[in-house]
Amino acid sequence: MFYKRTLSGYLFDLLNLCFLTIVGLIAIYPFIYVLGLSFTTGEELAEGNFYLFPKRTSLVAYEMVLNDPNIRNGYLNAILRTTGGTLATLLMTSLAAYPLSRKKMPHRKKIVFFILVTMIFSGGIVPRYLLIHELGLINNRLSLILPLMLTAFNVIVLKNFFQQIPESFEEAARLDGAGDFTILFRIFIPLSKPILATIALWTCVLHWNQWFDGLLYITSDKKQILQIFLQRIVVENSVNRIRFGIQDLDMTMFSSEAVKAATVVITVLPLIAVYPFLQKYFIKGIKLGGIKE
Amino acid sequence: MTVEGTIRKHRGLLWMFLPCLLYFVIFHYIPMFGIILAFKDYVIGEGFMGSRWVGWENFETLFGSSDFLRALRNTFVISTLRLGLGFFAPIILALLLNELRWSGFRRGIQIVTYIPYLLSWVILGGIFLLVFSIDGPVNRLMLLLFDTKVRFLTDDLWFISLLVFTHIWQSAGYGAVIYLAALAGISPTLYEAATIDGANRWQLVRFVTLPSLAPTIVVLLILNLGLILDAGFDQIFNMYNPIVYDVSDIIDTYVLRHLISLDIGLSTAAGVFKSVVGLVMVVASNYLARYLSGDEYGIW
Amino acid sequence: MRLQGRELHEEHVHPENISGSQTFRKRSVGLWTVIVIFSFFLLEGCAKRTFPKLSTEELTDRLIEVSDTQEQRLEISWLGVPRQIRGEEGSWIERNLEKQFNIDLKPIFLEWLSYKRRKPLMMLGGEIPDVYWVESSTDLRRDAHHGFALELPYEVILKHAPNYVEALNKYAPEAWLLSYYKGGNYGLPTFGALENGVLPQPGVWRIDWLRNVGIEKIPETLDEMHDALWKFRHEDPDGNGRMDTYGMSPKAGLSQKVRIDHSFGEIYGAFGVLSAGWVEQDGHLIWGGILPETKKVLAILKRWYAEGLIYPEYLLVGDDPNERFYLFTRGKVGYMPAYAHFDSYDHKFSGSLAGLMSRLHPEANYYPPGNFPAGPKGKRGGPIIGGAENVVVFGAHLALEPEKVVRILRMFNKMASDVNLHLQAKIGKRDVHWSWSIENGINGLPPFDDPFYGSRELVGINPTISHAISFFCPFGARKEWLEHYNSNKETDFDQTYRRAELSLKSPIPWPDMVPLAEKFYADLRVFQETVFAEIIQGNRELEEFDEFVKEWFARGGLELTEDANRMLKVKDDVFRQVGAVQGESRADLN
Repeated sequence: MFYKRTLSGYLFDLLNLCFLTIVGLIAIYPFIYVLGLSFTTGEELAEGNFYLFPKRTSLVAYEMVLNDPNIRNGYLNAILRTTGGTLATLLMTSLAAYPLSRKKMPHRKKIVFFILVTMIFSGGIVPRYLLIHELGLINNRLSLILPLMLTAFNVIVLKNFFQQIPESFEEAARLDGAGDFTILFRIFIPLSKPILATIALWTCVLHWNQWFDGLLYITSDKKQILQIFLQRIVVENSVNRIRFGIQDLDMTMFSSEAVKAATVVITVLPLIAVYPFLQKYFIKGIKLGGIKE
Repeated sequence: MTVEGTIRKHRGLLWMFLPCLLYFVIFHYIPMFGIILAFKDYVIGEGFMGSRWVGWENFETLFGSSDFLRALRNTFVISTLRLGLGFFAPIILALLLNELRWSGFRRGIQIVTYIPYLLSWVILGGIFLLVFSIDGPVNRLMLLLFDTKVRFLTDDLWFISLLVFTHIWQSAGYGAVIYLAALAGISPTLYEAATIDGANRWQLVRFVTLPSLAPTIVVLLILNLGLILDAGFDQIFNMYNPIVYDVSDIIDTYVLRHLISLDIGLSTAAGVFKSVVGLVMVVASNYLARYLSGDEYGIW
Repeated sequence: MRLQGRELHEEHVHPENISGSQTFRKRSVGLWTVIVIFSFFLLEGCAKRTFPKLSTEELTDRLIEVSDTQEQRLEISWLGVPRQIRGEEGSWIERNLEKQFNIDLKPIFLEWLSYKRRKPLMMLGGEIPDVYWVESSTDLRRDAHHGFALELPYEVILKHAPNYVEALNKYAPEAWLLSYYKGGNYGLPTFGALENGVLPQPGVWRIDWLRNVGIEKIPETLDEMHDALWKFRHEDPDGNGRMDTYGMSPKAGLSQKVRIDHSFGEIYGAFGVLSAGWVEQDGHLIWGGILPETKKVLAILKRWYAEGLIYPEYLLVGDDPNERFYLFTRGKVGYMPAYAHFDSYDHKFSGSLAGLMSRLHPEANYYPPGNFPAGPKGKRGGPIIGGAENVVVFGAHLALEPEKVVRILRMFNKMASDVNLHLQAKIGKRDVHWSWSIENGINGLPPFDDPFYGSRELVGINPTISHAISFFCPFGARKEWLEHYNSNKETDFDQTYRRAELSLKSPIPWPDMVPLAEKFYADLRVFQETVFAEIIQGNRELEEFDEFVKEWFARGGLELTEDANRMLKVKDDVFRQVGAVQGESRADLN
C-alpha cells in the first residue's frame, strides 16, 4: 500500500478486522444454528438451552425427512430440472448469442432491443399460466424448464464474450469450409468454457432455488420439486398434515424444529457443498454479468 | 438487396436464431397481451371475448380500496428502507474488505458473506422463522443481555426491521463483490500519485476510491430505483403472517391474493400498475443521472 | 459506462443495415401480427370453455327427468377432500364404489395448500372436475360467479337424494346456506357429525402443575383461572428452576390457516359473547366482535398478556394437531382449549393429545375437558360452528351430462342411508381393513393400520367414521350408527364430558355465509384480528376499541350487518323449500 503506517492506522485495521469478523459470524451463524438444530432431541429443545451444538444428538429428524416419499421425489425432481434446465439454457443461449455476435446478422441491434424489453416488461401471472396451460405443460416437468431456458441477461453476456473472440478464428474456419453451426460448436463454445461454466452455475442455482413455478404448474406430488415440500414443512408449519391421524413417530425424540432444520439442511447441502470449489466461477460471473467500465 | 436475398444469404445464422426468437415470442411477448385483462371484468365462464370491457374501472377500484392503498404504501415504505439502508451496506462492506491487509481472511469473509445470496427465500425464510422466534436463539440472547424478549415476527415495527435486516444480510455480500470487482480495476498509479501529493489513508478513500466507484454506484442505483415497487415478494411471502399484514402486505402479495380469489381484472391491473411505475422509474432516473453527470453516467 | 454491451452502441451503420431496415419493418409487422393472433388464440382458449347456459327451470326439468338405471358406465372425475396426501387411484374404496354404482372414478388428489392455491388456477385453465369439493361459502360464490359450478335446484336434490336431505336437515340444516348463491343452490352441502366444530372446546389443565403451585381444585371461574395461570408463569410449576413456562395458549387461529378464529373462545364465553360470529340480540343479528362484552374480554386478555400468562407468540401457533398441542405437550403452557372429542383422549392414536402426553410426560396428570371458566355473572361456554361443513359441487359442464349428476346424487343418498356402504366408503371392508369390538371401537387391521400403506389402499385411513373429511364420502355419520360403533370408553367419555348445553352458536354459523362477505369480510376479519392482537399485546390502548367499532362499521360492517339480517330471512325461505325445521339443532343429539 501507498500510505504511511500510523498508530491510528493500525488501530483502524484492528477494528476493521474485528468488525468484519463479526459480520462473517453473523452471516454464518444461522446456518450453523440450523445444522445444530437438526440434530437435537425434542427434550433438549424443551429445556431451552440450545444455541449451537446439541448435547445429545439424534438422527430422528433426518430419518423422518429422508423417509418421506415426498422429499425423496422432490429431491429427484429438483435434480432432474436442474440438470435438464441447465443443459437447455447452455444450448439455447449459445444458439442465440452466436448470431447476435456476428456483425453480418441483419438487424441485430433491434433484435437485442427486442430481447432487452423482456427484462423490464411482463404480462403477469395469469397470461403466463394460461400459456403454460395452452401448451399442455401443466403438471409436466417441462413447464419448469422451458420458460426459464433463456434470459436476456445470459444472452447479452455470452454475445459480448463471443464478440471478443478474434475474427481470425472464424475466418480460418470459413476457409476450411465450415458453416456457422460448425464454427459455433467446434470453435466458439470450446473457447468460451469459463463463461459457459459461469452461466451453467448461475442457472443451476436458479433452478435449484425456484419454487413459485412448482407451486403454479405442478399438480401432483410425484412431480413436485423439493423447494415446495420445504416450504410446506418450514414456512407453512405443516410438519404433519394428517389431521386425526395415527403416526408412527417416536414423539419423545421428535421435535418439529429439528424436522424443519433437517429439511433445510438437506436442501441447502448440494449448494453449500459445491460452493467453495466453484466459488471463483460465481465471483467471475458477477464480474462478467455485472456492470463494468 | 431483397428480403429473400437477405434471408438466403444468412440462412445459417437465421436458422440458428429461430429457437431464440420463438422462445421470446412465445414465453414473453404473447403473455404481454394479458394486460388486456386489466381492462375487463373477466368472468371465466364468459370467456375472454365474452367478458365485459370496463375501461379503467379496475384501476379506479384499486385506487378506491384501502386494501390496495395500504399495499402500495407498504411496498413503498419497505422498498425505500431496503434501498436506503441496503444500498450502502455493500459499499461499506466492500470498502472495509478492501482495506483489509490479510488477503486470506478477506477471501474468507467474502466467501462467507456471499453464501446467503445462493439460497432461496424459502430456505432463508425457514431459517429466520426459527432463529427469530420467541424461543429462538436471538431471543434467548436478548433475555440474557437485556432481560426482555422481542416479538420479531408479530410486532409491526420489529417485523419491518427484520425484513430490512435480513434483506441486507442476504444481499450485502453479493453486492460487495460487484464493488470489489470495480475496486480491483482502479489503476494503482492513481493511488501512487495521490500518496505523493501527501494524501493519508482516509483521503485516498475519499478522493480516489469513491470517485472511481461512482459510475458503478450510479448504475446500480438506477437499476434499484426501477425496482422501487419490488419490496421482495419471495422474502415477504415466506416470512409474513396475517398479524403483520398491516405493514407487510405488498403489491405482489395483493396480486397473488386476488389472483387466487379469481379477481383477475383487479389482480392484473395491480400488476400492470407496478410494471409501468418500474419502467417510468428506470427511464426517469437514467435521464436524471445522465443530466446530472453531463451525459457521462447512465445505463443507456 | 454502459451495461455490458458497449458494442451495442458502437455498431457502425452498415450499408446492409440501411437497406435492411425497410424489410425489417415489413417483417416486424408480420411478426407482430403473428404475435397478436397467437395471443388471441391463447386467451380465447378459455372461451371454448363457456358453459351451457340454461335457466333454472330448464335445468330442473332436465335433471328431474333423468331416470337412471345404472346401465351406462360413467366416467367421473372427482376432486375430493384435499387431505389425503398419499391417495392414489385404484384404492379399494374407489373400486368398491365403482362396482356398486357402475362408474369409473378418476380421483384428483391435491394436498391442502395446493388446493388452496392451485385449484383456482386449475379452474382458470378450464380444468373443471365433474365433482369437486369446496371448502367454504366464499369459494362457492367465487366458482358460481365464474360459471364453473352447476346450479343444483333443491327439487332435484329432493327427488334424487331424499335420504341425504333428511339427514342433512336433521343434523345441520344451516348447511344449506353454504351452497346458496343469488337465490339459487349450487351443490350439495355437507355436514360433519359430533366433530370438533360441533362441541365447544373446554380447556385441559396440567393437574400436576396445579398441585406443584399449591392449587388443589380445577379452576372454575375466571378469577381462579387467572390465579392458576399467574402461578404457572411465576412459581415454576415444572420445577426446573427457570422461569420458562407460561400460563396458556389459545386455540390457534390465523386468517390464512383456519376458516374462523376462535382464539380465547372460552374467555369470551364467560361473558356470553362470540368474538367472531353473528350474535342474536332481540331478534336482530349483530357482530359479536363489536359488543361491549368483547371490550371487557380484551381488557382481561390485555392484562393477562402483560403479566406473561399468555404465550407471547400465540399467534404463530399452527393449526395442525402437532402444532396446536405443541406448547402444551412440550410443557410450555399448563392450559389450553382442546377438543371435547374422544379421539384426542384415545391412547390408541399416537398423535392424539393422550398419545403424545403419555410418551412425553408420562408423569403428567391432565384434566380431561368439560369445564369452562365462569365469568362475573356466572356465564360460561365456548363457541361452536355446528355441523355445516363444506359443499360438494358439480362442474357446470354436467348440464350436458345430467345422468352423471343423478348417479352421484344417488350415491350420496345411499351413503346417507346404508350404514354398510357408508363404512365401506370411509374406512373399507369390515374384518379386512378394520375390526370392531365394544371395548376398542373401530380399529385398523394390519397392514392397513400403517398410515403409508393404509392411505394408499383406503384413501387415507382414519379409523373413525364421524368426520366429514373422507375423500369419497365427505359427510358425517348418523347418530345411531355412531352409537352402535363407538367403544364403551367413548360412550362413557361422551356422557361425562360433552357439554353441548355450554355451546355458543350463531344462527349463521360461518361468517362468510353472508353474501356481502365477499366484498367486506376478508378485510374486516384481518382488521379485527390485527386490532385485537395489538390491543392484547399492548401495542394499542384498550380505548382504541371504540374507534375500532366505528371504523368497523365504516369499512363495510354496516352493510354486512344488514346483509346478515337479510340472510336470516333467506334462511327461513331455504328451510321451507327443503323441508328443514327452523331451530332444530344438534343439542338433542348429545
